[in-house]
Amino acid sequence: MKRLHADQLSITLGGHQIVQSLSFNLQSGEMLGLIGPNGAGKTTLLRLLAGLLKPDSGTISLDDASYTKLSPQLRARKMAYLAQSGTAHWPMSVERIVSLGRLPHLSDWQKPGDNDKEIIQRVMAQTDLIGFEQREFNTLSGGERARVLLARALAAEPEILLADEPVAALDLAHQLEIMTLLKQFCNQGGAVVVVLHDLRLAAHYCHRLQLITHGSELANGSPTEVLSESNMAQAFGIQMREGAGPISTAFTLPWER
Amino acid sequence: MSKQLITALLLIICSFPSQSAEPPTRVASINLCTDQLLLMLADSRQIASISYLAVESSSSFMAEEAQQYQVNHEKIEELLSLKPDLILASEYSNRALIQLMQKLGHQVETFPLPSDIEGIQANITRMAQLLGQEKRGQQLVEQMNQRIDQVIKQQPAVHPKAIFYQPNHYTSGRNTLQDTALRVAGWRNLAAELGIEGYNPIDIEDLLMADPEQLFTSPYAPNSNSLAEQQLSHPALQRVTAGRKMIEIDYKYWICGGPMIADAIEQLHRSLPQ
Amino acid sequence: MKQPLALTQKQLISGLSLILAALFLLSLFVGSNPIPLFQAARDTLLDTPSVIALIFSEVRLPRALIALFTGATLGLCGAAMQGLLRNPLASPGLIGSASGAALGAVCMLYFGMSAATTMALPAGGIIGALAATMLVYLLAGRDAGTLTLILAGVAINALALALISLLLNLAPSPYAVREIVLWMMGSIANHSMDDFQIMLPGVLLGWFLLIGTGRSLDALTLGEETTTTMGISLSRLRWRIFFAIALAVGSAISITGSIGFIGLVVPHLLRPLVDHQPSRLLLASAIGGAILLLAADICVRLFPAGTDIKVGVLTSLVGAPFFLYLIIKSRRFVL
Repeated sequence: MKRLHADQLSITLGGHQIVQSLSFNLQSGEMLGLIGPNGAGKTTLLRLLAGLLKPDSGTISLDDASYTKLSPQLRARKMAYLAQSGTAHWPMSVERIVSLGRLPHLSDWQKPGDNDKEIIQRVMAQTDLIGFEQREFNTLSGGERARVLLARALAAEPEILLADEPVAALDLAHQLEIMTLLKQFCNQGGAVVVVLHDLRLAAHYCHRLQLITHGSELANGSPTEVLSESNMAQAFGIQMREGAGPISTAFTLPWER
Repeated sequence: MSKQLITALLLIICSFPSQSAEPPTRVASINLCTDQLLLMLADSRQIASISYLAVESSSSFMAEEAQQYQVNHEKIEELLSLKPDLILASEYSNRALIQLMQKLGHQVETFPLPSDIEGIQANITRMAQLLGQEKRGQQLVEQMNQRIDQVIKQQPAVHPKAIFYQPNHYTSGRNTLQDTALRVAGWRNLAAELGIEGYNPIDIEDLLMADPEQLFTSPYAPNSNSLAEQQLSHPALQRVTAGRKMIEIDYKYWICGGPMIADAIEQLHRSLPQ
Repeated sequence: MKQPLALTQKQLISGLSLILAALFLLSLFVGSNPIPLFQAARDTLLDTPSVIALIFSEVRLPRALIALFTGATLGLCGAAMQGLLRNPLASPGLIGSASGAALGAVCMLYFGMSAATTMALPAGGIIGALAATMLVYLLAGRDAGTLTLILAGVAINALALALISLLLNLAPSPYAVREIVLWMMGSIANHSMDDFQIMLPGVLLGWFLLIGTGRSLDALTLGEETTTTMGISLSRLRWRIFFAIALAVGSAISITGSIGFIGLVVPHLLRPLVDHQPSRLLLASAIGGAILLLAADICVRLFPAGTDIKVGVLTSLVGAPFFLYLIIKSRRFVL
């Protein structure tokens, strides 16, 4: 089922054309990776999809409702955004940070009810944060913090997750942890758009990849299709090496320039 | 007997101004209060200059009469160029200026600020003497005393309670002209009864506890606005006097001790409760 | 690992409210004349004309009420401003809202406009506060760091002070010049119920607008971008808070003059007790601010009669060292 759709998006920022006539599609249960070199426009595309930027031309719609007509509050109930540099400005406890995720479902004067508390508990269990409730956010490790922020996003019970480089500063174990959680989200019926730098993770976890260079789409399809030699040479200026794993999963790795 | 006569004669001779037997013809007054008496007592040809404050109608009783004369601003060069033969100052005038003028050979007479009728009389008499206008001085004193006696005769049996209230909570206690005037007119001055000496602030709670029947004020700059002046319209002040409004007595009647105190006393007398 | 205090919001608010009630009562007791409070209150309620009722209802009660509402306003607005700017040094005093309000009030009072219409005074305060806050915001920019924010605040405060001084010198009243201390230090003394009624509408309106912003301030913890994606309009939030602060602070300070440091100190002290959550800090800071100002005003009246210490002097004596302590402690503040 088609969830997110964007048609011929263009945007100019600071005098530069960042995104040019870019189209986009996302289905339920799909994990789509946005890859490409620095400055290609991946993050800008994500921010357009998140509603943080308005395109100069083109349309975006969520479940066939155009963004220009959809209220941000309704959108917030279906879609959650994980910013790249996840911080908490005040040293709150983990539980409080996670419960912030419920805000799109609460009015100005409402406090989290029993239903909300249940959801928070469940989400914390999913992200392996049981026991961390009263820990102060800023005292956690990078990986733990990433899990907390993901839990916050999940607490909104979104149907779509937009994640901007969610594993950028994490060590390997934590990287895999987060990506697994995102994959689980898809398996349960959600949809994920994730901006990734690491092509290995992109290849391993994403159902589909969209390769973006200079603000336009270069390739769109399964990882094997997109991570072809010619695409990699054109987009990144590198060569890939193919191989086979112990459980006979084929993989390609960036190898040399 | 003869010894006493000689002593009396000597005293009379010594009381004449030592410098000239003739009355002065170029008198400069550098202070608002000496301005008033000067304008009342002197012939116009005697007056060389009066202070710039004398022409302000809000604080100068003789403002109109003062218009025709040259004003000075208590500055040394101004005064020297006037070539005065007598300079009149108050006890609060610029000391350094007075000393300098005296050093340069000028006669400077300093007048205290009076706080009672006797003080006013003494000032009038002394200045009249200095100006050679003894007769006029005598007249002024007589007229003033007449008016005051008239009021004293009509004092009520029971004196009602009054108090002065000025911006920044100032009131007039013992040894002030307001105190004298209130009591002569037939009022009790609560500030004096509370032990306040001179011009001093009073706490509003103390004022309310004293339970005045009438509040008087003397606006220095009427119709101007400031926090200090706003305090005069505090609702508690109207309520404590059971709705009787604060009465304004013009500043010009008090600021300087002079015969105009009789005007103030009469006004105070007229505002007694019937 | 920091152990959060085991204090629920209910416990905290109840405790603070009790302290507030006690201080309010104490404030009614303190004055230059000991009066039997019960008797005075009864006389006031029954409308019996007596001097003690007069002192109670026209001198002590307005003073206590003005202290309470002004303190609460400053505490609440400090918490809201800190939540919005995500900066623990933001406060109506530092940001210039307070001196802007004083400037607006001075314009109205000394030149006769508030004599013409009573509501001109808080109106001036509101406009002044709004102008100052906007200027600082424009100067410092949206994502202002602490240094930029402080500098912008210093500039606007200096400008406001200079203009106040100039206006007071030019004012027709001879008493004006010496009243600069009242405007820059603040004073709760000598106000009437009329003054309280004048400041009340703006204060209550401001409070009403602010209380509903708690949720959005909580969301801002995660940063502006995430907050926007949660469906919260940042520009609307900003305007709402600036306007609300201008209304409340502007109205209060047009009566009391600029009282400093309450908006800075109170949220700071209470933040650990609400687990740093901005929405919970709002109500707590309001009560805390009222407590602080009432306490300061009581202290001012305990000085010997004749010494004319303004309440702002006391809050500054407490606040300035506190401010210095903050600076020294947080050396890791990357300015």
